[in-house]
Amino acid sequence: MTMEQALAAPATTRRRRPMADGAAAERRWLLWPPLVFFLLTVAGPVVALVQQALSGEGNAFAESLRMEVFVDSVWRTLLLAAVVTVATVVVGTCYAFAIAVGPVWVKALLMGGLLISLWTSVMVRTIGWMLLELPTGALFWVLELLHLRSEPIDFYQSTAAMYPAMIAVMLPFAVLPVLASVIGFDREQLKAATVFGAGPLLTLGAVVLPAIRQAMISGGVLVFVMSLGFYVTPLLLGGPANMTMSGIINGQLNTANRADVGAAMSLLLVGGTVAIYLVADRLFKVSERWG
Amino acid sequence: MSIALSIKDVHVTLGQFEVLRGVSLDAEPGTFVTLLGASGSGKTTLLNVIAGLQQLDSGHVLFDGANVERRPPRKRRVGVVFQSYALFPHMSVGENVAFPLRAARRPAAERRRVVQEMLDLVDLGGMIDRAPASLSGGQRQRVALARALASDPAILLLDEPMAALDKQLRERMQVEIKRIQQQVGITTVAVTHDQAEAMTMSDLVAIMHEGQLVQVDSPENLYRRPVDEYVASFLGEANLFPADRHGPLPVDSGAPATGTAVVRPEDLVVLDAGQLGDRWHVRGVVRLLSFQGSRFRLEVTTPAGRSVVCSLPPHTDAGALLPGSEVTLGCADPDRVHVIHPAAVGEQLKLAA
Repeated sequence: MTMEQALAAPATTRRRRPMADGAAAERRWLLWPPLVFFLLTVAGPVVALVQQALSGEGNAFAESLRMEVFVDSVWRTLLLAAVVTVATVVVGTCYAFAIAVGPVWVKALLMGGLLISLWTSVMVRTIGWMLLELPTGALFWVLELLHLRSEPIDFYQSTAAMYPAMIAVMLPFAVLPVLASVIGFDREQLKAATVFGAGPLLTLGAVVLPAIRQAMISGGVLVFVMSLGFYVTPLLLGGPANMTMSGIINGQLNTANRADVGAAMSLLLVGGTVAIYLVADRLFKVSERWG
Repeated sequence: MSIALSIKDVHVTLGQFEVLRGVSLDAEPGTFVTLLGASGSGKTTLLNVIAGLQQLDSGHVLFDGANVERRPPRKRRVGVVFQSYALFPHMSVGENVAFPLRAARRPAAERRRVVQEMLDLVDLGGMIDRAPASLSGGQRQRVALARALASDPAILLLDEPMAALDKQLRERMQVEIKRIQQQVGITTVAVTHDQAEAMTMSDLVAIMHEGQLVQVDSPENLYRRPVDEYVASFLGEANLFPADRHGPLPVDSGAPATGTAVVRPEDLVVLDAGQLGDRWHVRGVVRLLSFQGSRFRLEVTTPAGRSVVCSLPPHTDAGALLPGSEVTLGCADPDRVHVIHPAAVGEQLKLAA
């Protein structure tokens, strides 16, 4: 759900693009389909959430913020999202470079891997990581085969266990914008840097990275915002003791039977996400890339 | 400080295709050399060879007598103006020009001084803080030129420098680049497919054809004394007639020819019957007469279907040259007819080898 929202963001932002003055009046009806889409898929559910959050006896928002498990999960979620963002942007940029400049077979392999992981359900990939991380899972099997370890690994369902899987799941969203930017990069600038005496470090730092900086930031913001609301992967790999915000919300709805508190927490998550996006937009002009 | 450039028997193969097939070239310090040729003739590859951006199969590149073919580009002290200019878009004009100095870790004070000096040289002194994107095409080219000259290079390389400019600006910049090149006194190699540009800017023009240098000479010698038919028709318009040792043979006579006479359109005149005598001449029918301002351009077809182009002064009586009328053309000055002897070309090649 969160993934769909994040991917739909460019489509809903696009309707604010300014039009040529003369044609504006005739083309105004073109605004209606996206507007209806926005009302049905974004505004509608938010209104329903607000109504749900206000339906309880007390102040569901204040109650949420007093809950220690919830506040803990907020910090855990923010830390997870931040680390995953930095890791995916760094790895993703290297990945994009390799696709852009590597020989054909490297390109095919890396691009294929990227697309297959995008097309495969998050659930399936999470279970894959589970099988890897279980105390006697694939990781243990390999280490045992190499005589590096004989006792089962106590890694599954810990905070750290969420990280590799989250990075793997989010990687394509960091790679794709950077890749588009790297492919569009004018290679003659590399020649210019070489000819004018720049070594590899100066070329990377002063010529290449500034050119793809915007794409790295957009990829990072996309990953960060998506990570904030991610559900399946943190829940299965982190376990009940390390729940992120979405896990806690699910608990309120399905276990504690407090729909109003769950709705209030959801609104806090959505509001916080939007606030973070707006701050990022102010700082880095992210939305300029959406046109 | 400029250098003497020497290229000796350079071969380059890209994939299956031999792009350079034994290229040799010598240029004195301070010379402006233009590589002129159709696209695919290998001229950009040769420029990359000089810059060090292209590996050689064999041959040598010498700067002032020292072999540089194994030296990486950044140690060759070359300044390059790229075809797309390749300015760094996120840097200001001043930062772009300072880049070679920054790469060489020169102190900040020197950088500032050189940047100002270079921008003054290209008449962009007030643009130091502007972004390249806010400049016009001609201004961007000047920035690229200033950056290329900033590190006091030994040789300046220009890759199709005018390709992105419109015609008027192109002509202004040709003169401008020539002025700056002479002021700095730097050895320069430019690549172009525009013959007018090559002739305007260069001391030496090297005609490239299919990976080889066909002729390297001053613009005037290339025009007056081309070594073969390719050069003759590549540089300006040329009428080619069969010839023997003594000059052009009677046209359409079928007499055995040992060479080719090159007659430039402006060297042909319209002859009256009385002027004929035993002079060499061409008879034909006027196909087209067009007024081009400073000249008339006359196209004549001979009975055997050969097309002859003639350029006449603007005071010519156009009434006598209507399409369809018969006309006789002759040479204004027989000394200006250049005869290409294939045997002589062979000898020249032998001498060069």
